[in-house]
Amino acid sequence: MVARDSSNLVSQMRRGAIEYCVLALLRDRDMYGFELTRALSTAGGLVTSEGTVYPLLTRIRQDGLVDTFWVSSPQGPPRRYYRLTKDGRLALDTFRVQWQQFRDTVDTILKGSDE
Amino acid sequence: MTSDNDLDQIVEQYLSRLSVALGDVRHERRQQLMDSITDHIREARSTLSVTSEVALRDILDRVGRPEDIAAEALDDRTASSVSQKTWFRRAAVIAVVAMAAAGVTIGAVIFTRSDNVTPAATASTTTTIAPPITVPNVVGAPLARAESQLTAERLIFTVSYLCSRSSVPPGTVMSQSPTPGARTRMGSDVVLTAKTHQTCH
Repeated sequence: MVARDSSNLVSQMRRGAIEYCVLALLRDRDMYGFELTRALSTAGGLVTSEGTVYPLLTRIRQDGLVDTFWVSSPQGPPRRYYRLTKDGRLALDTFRVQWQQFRDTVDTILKGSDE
Repeated sequence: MTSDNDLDQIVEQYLSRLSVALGDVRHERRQQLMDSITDHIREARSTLSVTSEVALRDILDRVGRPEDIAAEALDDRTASSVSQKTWFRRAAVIAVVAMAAAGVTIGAVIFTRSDNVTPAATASTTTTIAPPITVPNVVGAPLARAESQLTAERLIFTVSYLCSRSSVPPGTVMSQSPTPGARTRMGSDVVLTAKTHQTCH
């Protein structure tokens, strides 16, 4: 029997979920890049590195799920803030429902096979 | 405690590596990523009041390996439908260029006067032919102008930032490779060296 590569599975799951984690972080308040990537990287195991979040941010901005604006900073140059758009909020709400259903289903089946 | 200049140098080295690693990412995207990550490092340094090399290396470790960031950026390009078109377009361009190049080779074998065989003549089965491009001179230009000149010629480019005692404004292109006037192909990479915005020794 060949051992399955679970690290690949985790990276696939992470890939699917992380975009929505970004949207969820922005649900309550707007955040600038450093703040947002730090919040994600301190939530253990979610991102491989802070730098890899930026390609994702560029993409969800292109997809219209977030937009950006500049705010002058107390020290140093202005900061680019990310803000959830109406489409982003909708995508997040949809994902929450789908995620809960998916998680419940998988949990039920996993529990069943334990017994 | 390490001097700010030394720390700046370490950041510059990291950003140069990143810029090279992002070589296959299309240019607007690459520029956005370079800007975001430059901002990120600056914010981290000021938020965490970094004064030592160890603390700075920690920040850069957390930003991650340039290759990983590049892999993510390239993955994204195929994941997004809008970008996917660009990817296909680029693949098509590469295919046309490859076919044109193959045409020249076959031509050289078939015809004895191979020097007269042009890609346009041999690759007649393809609808578009990528003609050779003359690399424009962007030395002395600000990066924004260099960018528009190069993209107008459908060339992509990579920038390394260097310290320079020259009196030109930061962001000015100091050198380029291939040199102006050289012949190249659509989609080829031009490597630029520009004067850094950061303070130097």
